[in-house]
Amino acid sequence: MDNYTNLSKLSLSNSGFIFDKHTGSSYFTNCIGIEIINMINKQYSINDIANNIAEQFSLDKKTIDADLTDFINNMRFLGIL
Amino acid sequence: MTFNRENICVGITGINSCENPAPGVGVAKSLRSSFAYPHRIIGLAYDGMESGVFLNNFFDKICLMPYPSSDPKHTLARLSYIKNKFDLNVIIPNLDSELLFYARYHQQLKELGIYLFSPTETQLELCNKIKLENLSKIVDTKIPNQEIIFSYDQLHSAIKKIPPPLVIKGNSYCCYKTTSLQEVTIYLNKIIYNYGYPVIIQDEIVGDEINIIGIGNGEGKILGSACVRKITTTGIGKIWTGVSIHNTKLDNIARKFVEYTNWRGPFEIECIASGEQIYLIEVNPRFPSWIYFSTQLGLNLPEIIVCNALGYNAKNEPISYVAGKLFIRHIEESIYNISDLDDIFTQGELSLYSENKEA
Repeated sequence: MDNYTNLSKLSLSNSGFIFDKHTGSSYFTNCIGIEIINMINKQYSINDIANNIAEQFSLDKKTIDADLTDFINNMRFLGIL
Repeated sequence: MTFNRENICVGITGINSCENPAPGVGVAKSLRSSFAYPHRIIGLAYDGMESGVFLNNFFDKICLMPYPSSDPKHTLARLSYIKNKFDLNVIIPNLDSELLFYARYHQQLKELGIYLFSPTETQLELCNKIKLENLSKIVDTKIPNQEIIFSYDQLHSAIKKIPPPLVIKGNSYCCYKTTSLQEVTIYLNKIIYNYGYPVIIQDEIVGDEINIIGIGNGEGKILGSACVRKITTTGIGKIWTGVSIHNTKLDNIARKFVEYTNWRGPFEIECIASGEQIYLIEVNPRFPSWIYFSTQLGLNLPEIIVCNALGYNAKNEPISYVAGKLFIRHIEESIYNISDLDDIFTQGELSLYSENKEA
């Protein structure tokens, strides 16, 4: 996964509250979103993230791939990534 | 000069905390919360009905002042009287309309023993809203398209170049977002009735309102600064809720501004972040009304002003603060007796604490 420097400016709480220290914007995500952001921070590839989520939550990998792409595109749109 | 550090007396103007709050009450609260130097605080009010007149938590004394538009000799005479009677040492002016007086009569006030740490006349001229484009070049950032109008006849040609939605603002006060020509006309009339021309018409930039406040040391260095994003605002664009942020682009704008102008005293730079682009909206040569927020973040900027005005060694190291602190403004009602108006209207002075009658 690319090195997303924008993530370093985020404060992420365990309950899914995300605060961008640079812009002052705040967002909410769920527990899976937190897992994904934590894995992005650890430089996991998209494929590794999808496999990890599939294993943790016993979900279909194909569905996860589509949802993960949506989630990451959404983060890019919001300027978080 | 030598001062009794235990008994510094600071005069603060702009103490009306109404729907368009002036910064004075926030400045007084900041000085009250200072542990470095105990201060006696005199509220310098232009009207007995300014809400700060009754805030005995923050002001020891209230003195009425001649209006900023009065003959300067009346203001100097009044300040001389206050100096002699209450040993006033420092004034922190907080209203745009009076800053020119304090810049021009800085030396005379110093001779009276009243010290300031505020911008010079040349520096004030740079902040004139109609010269925003020059300032934007100095700080290397964009401004919204704008037209300056000096008469009603110029409105239509301005509207052709900048159609609604647009922002219409007075040169010193008032700012309205408008979506139609009808609204533009209504607000134009309102602005010129209260403040006259010129009136500025700007493209409405959609984005996040972000501000930086700080103090320049007069030699190109910042003595402390804090960035805030406005989350919600009132109908006239005043902050209602906000959050502290760390924004390097804003920091750079402030640094360039202070370096180029050798800014002395407080400033507030207002910008809008639209995507990656930052637009400069205006620079205020004074503290904003939310100054107490920065004090709560650990930066007591009014105290730095007092120290520098008196020539004390204020901290010159940048002070860090936490991003993510939330600011929420509240409305609060207080009840007084009608007789409380007696002293302020008949004597022009009011002692707010009985033990401070001679304060």
